Amino acid sequence: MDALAKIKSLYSRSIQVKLLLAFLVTTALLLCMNIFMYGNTNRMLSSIDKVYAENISLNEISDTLEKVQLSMTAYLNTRSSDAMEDYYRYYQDYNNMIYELSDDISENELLLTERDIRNMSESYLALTNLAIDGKRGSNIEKYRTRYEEAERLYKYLQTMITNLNNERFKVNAENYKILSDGLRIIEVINIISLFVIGVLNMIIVVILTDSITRPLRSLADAAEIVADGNFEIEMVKVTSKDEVGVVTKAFNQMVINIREYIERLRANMETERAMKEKELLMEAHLKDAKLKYLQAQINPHFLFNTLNAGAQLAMMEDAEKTYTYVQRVADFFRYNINKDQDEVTLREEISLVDTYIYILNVRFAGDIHFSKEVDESLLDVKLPGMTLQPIVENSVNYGIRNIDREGHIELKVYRQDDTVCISIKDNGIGIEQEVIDRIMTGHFHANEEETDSNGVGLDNVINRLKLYFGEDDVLNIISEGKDKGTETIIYVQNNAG
Amino acid sequence: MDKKNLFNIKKNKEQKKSVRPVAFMVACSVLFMATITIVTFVIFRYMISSTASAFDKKYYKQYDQYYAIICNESELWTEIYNQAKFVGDANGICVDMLSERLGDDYSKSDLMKIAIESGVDGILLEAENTDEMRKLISEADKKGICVVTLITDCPDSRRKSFVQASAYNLGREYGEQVLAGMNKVDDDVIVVMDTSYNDSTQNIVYLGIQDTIKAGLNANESVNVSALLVNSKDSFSTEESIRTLFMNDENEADVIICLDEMSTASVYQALVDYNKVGETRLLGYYVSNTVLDGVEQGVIEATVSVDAKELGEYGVFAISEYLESGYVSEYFSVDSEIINKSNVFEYRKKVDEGQ
Repeated sequence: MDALAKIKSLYSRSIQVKLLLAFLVTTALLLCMNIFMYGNTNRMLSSIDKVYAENISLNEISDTLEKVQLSMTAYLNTRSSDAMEDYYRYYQDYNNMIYELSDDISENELLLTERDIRNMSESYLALTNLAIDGKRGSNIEKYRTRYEEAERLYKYLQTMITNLNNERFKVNAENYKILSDGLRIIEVINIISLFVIGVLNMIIVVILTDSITRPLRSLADAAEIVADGNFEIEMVKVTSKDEVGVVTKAFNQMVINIREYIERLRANMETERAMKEKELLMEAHLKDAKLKYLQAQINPHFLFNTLNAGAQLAMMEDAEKTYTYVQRVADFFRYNINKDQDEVTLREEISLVDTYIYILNVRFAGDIHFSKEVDESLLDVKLPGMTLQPIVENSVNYGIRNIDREGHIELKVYRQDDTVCISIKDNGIGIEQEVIDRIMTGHFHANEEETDSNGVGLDNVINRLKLYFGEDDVLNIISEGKDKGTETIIYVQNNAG
Repeated sequence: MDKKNLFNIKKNKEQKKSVRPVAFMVACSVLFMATITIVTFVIFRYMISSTASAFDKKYYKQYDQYYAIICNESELWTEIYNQAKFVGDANGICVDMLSERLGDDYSKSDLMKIAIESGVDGILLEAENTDEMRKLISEADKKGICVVTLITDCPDSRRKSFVQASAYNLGREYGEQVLAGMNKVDDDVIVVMDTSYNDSTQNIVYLGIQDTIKAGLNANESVNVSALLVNSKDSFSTEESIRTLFMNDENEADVIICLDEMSTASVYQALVDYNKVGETRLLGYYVSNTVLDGVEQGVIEATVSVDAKELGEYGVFAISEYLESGYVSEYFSVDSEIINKSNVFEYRKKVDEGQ
């Protein structure tokens, strides 16, 4: 189990190890097969070699026996020392050879014949020795008798050796056939084995390379999809710890990162685009307000300076009221000139409303009853400039100007939960709901020529409020019907406060 | 189980999946090679056992002693040899029929010489009553080889024992058989005798026949018993002598008695060839299949069965007894039995069952 675990951990390590494993396993298998085949064939061939070795050795025995006999006969005939030398040499050779023969009383006839040949050879050699001795001692009778006996044995021996050789040859021929048939079988087995091992090796290589290339292929497929710009793909499975595994993991991480990055980028762009749009609109509306103002007041600086001169003149003449009036008018116009920035405090706006009401009351001899109910803590709330005055102007122009009763305008600043509410309420003629709807949707255009407005319309105010706060519910107009008055409420989300 | 562990388990499973087929294939390969190794090993074992046996001593039984049988080849002697071999095998003795192993080129004296020089422990000999044989027996004796003669003897030699069916009794059996079937007063009885053995055994049988017939005859009856001498040593001479007997019209025998297997077979064939069946009675020797066929067909009136098994057994026993103790009884007698038409069926059955 440990070994298997080791192999598995090795296997999962790297492509190099995998390839090495593939080559090693297949090579080892083929090598084993070859060694096995070589061993088989070799064993077979050595068996076949052995087959006729017996015949060869028997032939040698026969030849040597003949040489012994011939050299003995030669010596007996000639007494030559050469013959004697030959005799002893062959005697020794033959003696050595016969000891290779079987000495057992065996049930096998051939082995039994070997034993007979061996024993008879010993007797024969003894007889030849005696014959040689007889010749040396010039004992004619002795050596002749021994010679005859030896010759008789020699003939027996030669016949027996020949017979044995023949018998052996028969057996060997059968053995040779069996072995050569066996060799053929082994050959067939070898070829089949080699083929089978080859096929198995190929399968192993295919499996191993597939295990390497499969993750690569799926990675490549995924990469192609990503290359086409589609990041919404399923994560590629990590099946190994090798290089492909590492690359796949990195690829997956990369896809995730890219996806996140794109998401972030899109959100940022969205925000930026919205902000830019807002900014542009704000700018456009402000410009629009200013343009309208300038159209109404051709030269506010000139007017302002003129008014200031008027105020000074009133002071020199001790006309206190005139002075205050001209001064307030001058303040009103200065606000318009100076407050060209987007953002003002509620305090400043209320102050402007005060100034405006004062001017109107001078104009209309105190017809407008203006009251305030302001939560002082909310005076620092920021809002776009030129917001309250146009609403109050609306209340005056469309609400209370043409009524017979006493006109009241009430300004309230209060907190409702997190919202700062700025309410401007009049007791004028009221507005029909249809008109309110048109105002709220921006489809109502009053004939500004007919009024002495400063030129900033309610729709402009609403749009700027919406843009500034980034919300739709910034203003509400409530009127309960004809002669029931109108209340305009600005809602400021006071997150800070 | 947390998410990480789950992930690891899944991953391990994936890895296992990819490792498993490779491990399986490698296991298959190894298994295949192991199978092939076993198969070829078995083939080798088979081939080696069928070939190496010719080279290797260890595949054969080894014996302590070695007895040679020297004889002329015949069914009787084959039977004797088989029995002797059987008995020998059980007692660690290798019994070998030299003429069968070495071929027919050798005379008995050649075989004796070969056996002596080969250093056998004992010789079972179908002896001949000749000086050469006596000399060879002496030579064997000098080398410590125990010679026991079977069926035929070599008197006055140094053989240690003689095993035979009692010759005189055998003669009496033949004589009685002749008398039992006699229908004429002046029958001619010819006894075919093999001179090559120069052995007194056949003379004793002849004597037994003569004595029995003489004793069994009435005063007015006369039977002429004569011998036909053949020599089995000369090739085909037995056959030729017997043919001559039949071709010679004057010499018409009423009863022919054969004292060996070969002449029995020859006479049997001649009777059929010369259409003498029923005219000439044939008393044979030994029970080969041919002889038994002849008895069944009525061509051979009767034959004498010598217990070949007993001969072989006694022969081996005699040699081993002598080699062990230095002494052995000089004479062993084995049973003989007359086989004729009345008991041939039972005899054949007995032989078949015995085999």
